[in-house]
Amino acid sequence: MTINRTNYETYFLRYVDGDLIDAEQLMVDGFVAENTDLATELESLLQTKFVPDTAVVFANKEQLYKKENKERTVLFFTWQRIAVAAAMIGIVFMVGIILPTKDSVHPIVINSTIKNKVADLIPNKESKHPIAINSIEKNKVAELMPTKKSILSNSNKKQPINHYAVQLKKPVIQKISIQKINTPIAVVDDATIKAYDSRLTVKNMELLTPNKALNSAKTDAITLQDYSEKTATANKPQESTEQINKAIVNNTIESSTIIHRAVYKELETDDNSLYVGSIELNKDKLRGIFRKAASLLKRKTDQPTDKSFLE
Amino acid sequence: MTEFEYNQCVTLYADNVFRFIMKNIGHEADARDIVQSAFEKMWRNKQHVITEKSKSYLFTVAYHQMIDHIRKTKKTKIVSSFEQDERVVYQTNNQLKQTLLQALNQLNETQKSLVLLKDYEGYNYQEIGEIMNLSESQVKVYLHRARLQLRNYLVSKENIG
Repeated sequence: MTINRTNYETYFLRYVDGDLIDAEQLMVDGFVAENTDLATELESLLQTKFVPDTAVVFANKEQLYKKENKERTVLFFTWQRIAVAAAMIGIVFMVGIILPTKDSVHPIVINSTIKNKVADLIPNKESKHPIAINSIEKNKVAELMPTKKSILSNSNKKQPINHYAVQLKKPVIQKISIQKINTPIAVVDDATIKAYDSRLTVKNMELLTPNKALNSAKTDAITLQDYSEKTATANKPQESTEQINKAIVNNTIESSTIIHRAVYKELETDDNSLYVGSIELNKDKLRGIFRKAASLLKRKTDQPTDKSFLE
Repeated sequence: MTEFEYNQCVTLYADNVFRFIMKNIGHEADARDIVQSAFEKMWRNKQHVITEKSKSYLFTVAYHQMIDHIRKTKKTKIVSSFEQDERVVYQTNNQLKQTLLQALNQLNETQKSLVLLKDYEGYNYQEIGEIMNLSESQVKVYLHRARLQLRNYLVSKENIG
């Protein structure tokens, strides 16, 4: 199809719109050259073409920029996961309660007045209550450590041990030295004490009558235990020294059965403690927790399987 | 379409869309609103927008929002067009451009959009038809009519002048 004077307008409009191919454009150019009277018409149509106004711009494009908010994935916990998490939290909480804290450390300090009064109550030569520690008690009452000097004098002269260097098992409790007047304290190491301990036990058992040995052993062992307990409580600032002294005297005078009970309690509490590294745990409390956990697990295993729900 | 591609669209086409809408309705604030709405819509539907077609999508959305806007504000059109004419005279010094813009305002919305999309953005008939929801032949016919109308206006002005 060629351009002519009847269809030239369509070609001109397409020419303005840029819709013609190169050959058609050349054809139009030739036609206009041949028909100069139509050149002004093409020119007027070309004047209707708009040129983009670059002065018109969208100010503050920052309003249009977007930043994608990353969606957070929501994890749906099953009840088993929640149960395990709760159990773990509970265990951590219980361990936190059971574990001793540094605040529970109460160093024992005995002032000189108490020390002297306590020393008077310690069995001496006249009282004839030598310490005789049998093999069972020796193991349990390892805290009661006689001094080297007293052990030696006791074994040679059949005299009771007058001097004690008492050390409690608990790491928080410090050494308690009960000194009798005129006799210095000698602290020895564990190995030496154990060696002297065995010698002392044998010799004391030989030298004393059975009844006496038993009674004196009980009394002295318990007295020492009471001394340690009472002197420990004496550290509390609220209690007066008089009250402590009275307690010590009463404990010494009271019957041996009550004293025995006190010893038993002390040893029992020692047995209940479990050391994990340097951390002391209470066996009873742990045992209770484990027992509950075991019963829960057993109950869970007894439940019907999931297959029953599918049927 | 990714976030990066969307932001690239803002950089590349925000001015073009704004210019197109601005020349059509002659009101800057409204034109800004329409452009913002168009980009908002593109952001919401970015997962369905093909990056290569993003410009057409943007113009299509903007055009239809502009039509809605014009229909809503049809009653105040006469006043606003008069105000715009004053502003156009102030902004352009060229007499021909001024006359041409006046001629543009004589066109209906469809013709105006056709001319601007063709001249400003250089779309072909098919692309304009997609944007304005018209057939290719309709675009050609309407556009040619608009050209002739503009030419007649210019010729008549020249004759008067």
